[in-house]
Formats: sequence, C-alpha cells, structure tokens
Amino acid sequence: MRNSSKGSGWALILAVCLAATTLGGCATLNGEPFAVQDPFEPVNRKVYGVIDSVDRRVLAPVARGYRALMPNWAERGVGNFFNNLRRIDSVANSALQGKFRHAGEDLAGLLVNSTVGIGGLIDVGARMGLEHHEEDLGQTLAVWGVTRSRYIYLPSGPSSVRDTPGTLFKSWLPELLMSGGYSLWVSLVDLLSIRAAALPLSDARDQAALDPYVFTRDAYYQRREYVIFDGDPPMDDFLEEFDELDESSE
Amino acid sequence: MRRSLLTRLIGLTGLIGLLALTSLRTHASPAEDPGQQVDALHAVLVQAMKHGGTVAERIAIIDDQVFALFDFETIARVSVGREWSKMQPAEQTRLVDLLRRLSVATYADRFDKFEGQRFERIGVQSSKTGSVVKTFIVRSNGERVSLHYYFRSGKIFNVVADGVSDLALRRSDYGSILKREGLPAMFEHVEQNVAELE
Repeated sequence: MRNSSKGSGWALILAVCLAATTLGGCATLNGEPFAVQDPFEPVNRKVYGVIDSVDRRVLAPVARGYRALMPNWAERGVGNFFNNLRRIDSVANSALQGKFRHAGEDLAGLLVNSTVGIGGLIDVGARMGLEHHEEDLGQTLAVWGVTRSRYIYLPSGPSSVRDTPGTLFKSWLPELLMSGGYSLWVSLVDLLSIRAAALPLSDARDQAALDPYVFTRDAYYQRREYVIFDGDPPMDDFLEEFDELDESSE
Repeated sequence: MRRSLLTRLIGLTGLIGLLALTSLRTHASPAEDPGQQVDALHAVLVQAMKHGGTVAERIAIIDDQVFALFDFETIARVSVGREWSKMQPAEQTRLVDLLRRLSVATYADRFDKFEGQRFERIGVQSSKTGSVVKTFIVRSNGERVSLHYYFRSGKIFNVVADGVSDLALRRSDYGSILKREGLPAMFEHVEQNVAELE
C-alpha cells in the first residue's frame, strides 16, 4: 500500500514536470546554480590519478595507434555503430523531458541508420537532417529539478551523483542490445572508439591545464549545464557572475 | 561684437557637428561592431589554416588580430582572482604577456590546417553589462562546435566553446595551483605550456 502511494506520488511529480517541460522547461531549472560540488575531492583525486596513469601509459597510446591504423571511414563507421545503439537512451530521455520532437527525430534517426545505414555503420540520419540530441538520464533528472549534484570521478571518467546511473546505463546499453554478440573484443573496440574520439579533448586539456583534475571537473560541470539547457544556458548568469569575479580580483 | 559672437556660434556649431559626425563614424566603424570584430578574427584564422606551415608562421598571421581584439589584462586579473592585487606590477605585466602568447599559440596550434571548415555567425545578444557574439565552426563533415565570444568595453574577455568557458575554467585551474603551490609555481606551469605550444 505504501509502495503504491509512493508510486503515485512519483507519477504525479513526473506528470507535473512533463507538463512544465512541455510548456517551456521545469520551473526549478531556470536560475538554479550548477556550481561545482566536490566534497569527495581527496578520493576523487586518487581515482583520477590512477585512471590517468593507466590512460597515459596504455589506453591513450593504443587509441592513437587505433586512430593511425584505421582508415577514417572505418573509424567513423565503428563510432556510428555504437552511437546508434546508444541513441535509444536519447529517445527515451527526450520523451521523459517532454521534448517529443527531439524524441521523434532520434527515433527516426535510429530506425533509418539501423536499416538503410547497415546496422548503424553509416549515419544516414545525419545526411537527412535528423539531429542526434544526446539526452541522458542525468539531463532528465536535472530538468526534473536535480540541479545540484556532487562530483564523482568514475573509472569511465568524470560524472556526478545525479549523472552516474545514466552514465552506467549508457555504457551498458550496447551489451544489453547485442546480448551474446557483445564479446570482450567488441567491448574493447567500443572502448577504443570512445577513447580515440576523446583524444582531441585530452590533448587540449594537456596543453592548457595547470591542475588537470580541476580542469576536467570544471569543464565537466560547465558542459553538463550547457547540454541540460540544450546549448542555450542563460547568458546573463555568466555576465553577472563575471562582474562578481572581476570585483573580487580588485 | 555681434559678428564675433555669430562667428563663435558658427564655429561652435561646426565643432559640435564635427564631433557628432566623428562619433557616428566611430560607432559605425567595423572595428567597433562586435559581430564584425569576430568576423575579422575568423577571417584571420581561416587565413592561418589555409597557410598551414609551422606554428611560428601561423602565430605571425594571428598575433596582431588576437592582440587587438582580446582584453588580456582583464583575462589575467580574473584568472588569478585576489592574487592580482598582491602581485607586483612587473609580475602583472608578465602574466598578461604570457596569457597573450598562450592564447595566440593555442589558436595557431588548433587551427593548423584547412579542411573545409567554415564559420557561421548566428547573432549578437546584448545585455546591460556586455554582449555575446554567437557563432559556429562547421567542419566539412557537418559537425558543429559553438563558439560564443563575450565582449565588454569593446573587447573579448571570454570564449565559450560548446558551453565550456575559457575564463571560468582558467580561474578555477589557476586558483587551484595558486592555493596548492603558490605564484612562482603558477608562472612556471604557464611558461611551460607556452613553450610547449610555441
């Protein structure tokens, strides 16, 4: 009975949020700060140190080799294949946020790529103008009002308490959909494809960062705010914040 | 006496008219329009990409335009926060110069070859305290990266690429090093980054 009551409570919150997002965004989202919260910094730094060391010694050099050896079309095909499988996540989360047009576009892209695009190897949807909106569970939770979230550095990279379930689900999706076909070799290719695509970002970090841990963490928070607002976060927030920063420098 | 007053009035009116015209010309000048300033920067970046060559050659192409458009003193001041007021004038000048070299070298490194990239300006948004020029860089495969240029007092003080603010990131990053290792270490790290890029 209690469970049923809880269930209907969540359904009501979901319904209200869906209604609100359909009308232009959940009221709790606008104006809420997306500030960095890192109470687990000592542990996060240790995890970052270990993962970064493994990455620099093994994963990044292998990903560079993969990129050098694979022809561009083949590298793009592999990336397209796994991105297409993960597009189901975007379809579901666009719908959960009330962005039904985005959900429709992603669903159409998924269907076209899976059929005409030879199982997702060719991104035919992009050529037809079907944009990949890249929505995930973390963004859905943010739209529903979970804006503040503590930072966690996972073995797979930067995340937060709010974003972790979605990150894990997205990583697991290809295995779920391919079931027996997702062998160790396929998972390694998936990992290499993801790492190779991220090489320009890690190179940019290495060129600019003085404290790579802080650089990665803050870039992650900013990027998440950007995607949560669908690429259009409030401009005044930054200009006002900048004025405060500038005054505190004097 | 009356004639002299008339002459003065005519002279004054002429002067006001001249000032007004100068003012109008200044506001209409391409150099003052944030959108056109960004277009000029993009044109230079395309020129550098088409030239290719070495980093030093691309730096030579980009340097003047970046120096004229970016407010490196504000960038340096905001990057180090409260530490700015504790720094000696020579240290402040050194940091401003390092950040200019770092920015130019970063542009020269990232925009190294032309592969059909193009820039699209989608609009200028103004507010009480400044304006933002919103653009995209579009790669030949159709991939788009948003680049937003934040202006205040006619100069760029921040670039936001796909939602990631260069200035906010630098402030956290430099702030962390200042807190953990101090000012000399921060200078050492920045100089190392500049040397690696140049």
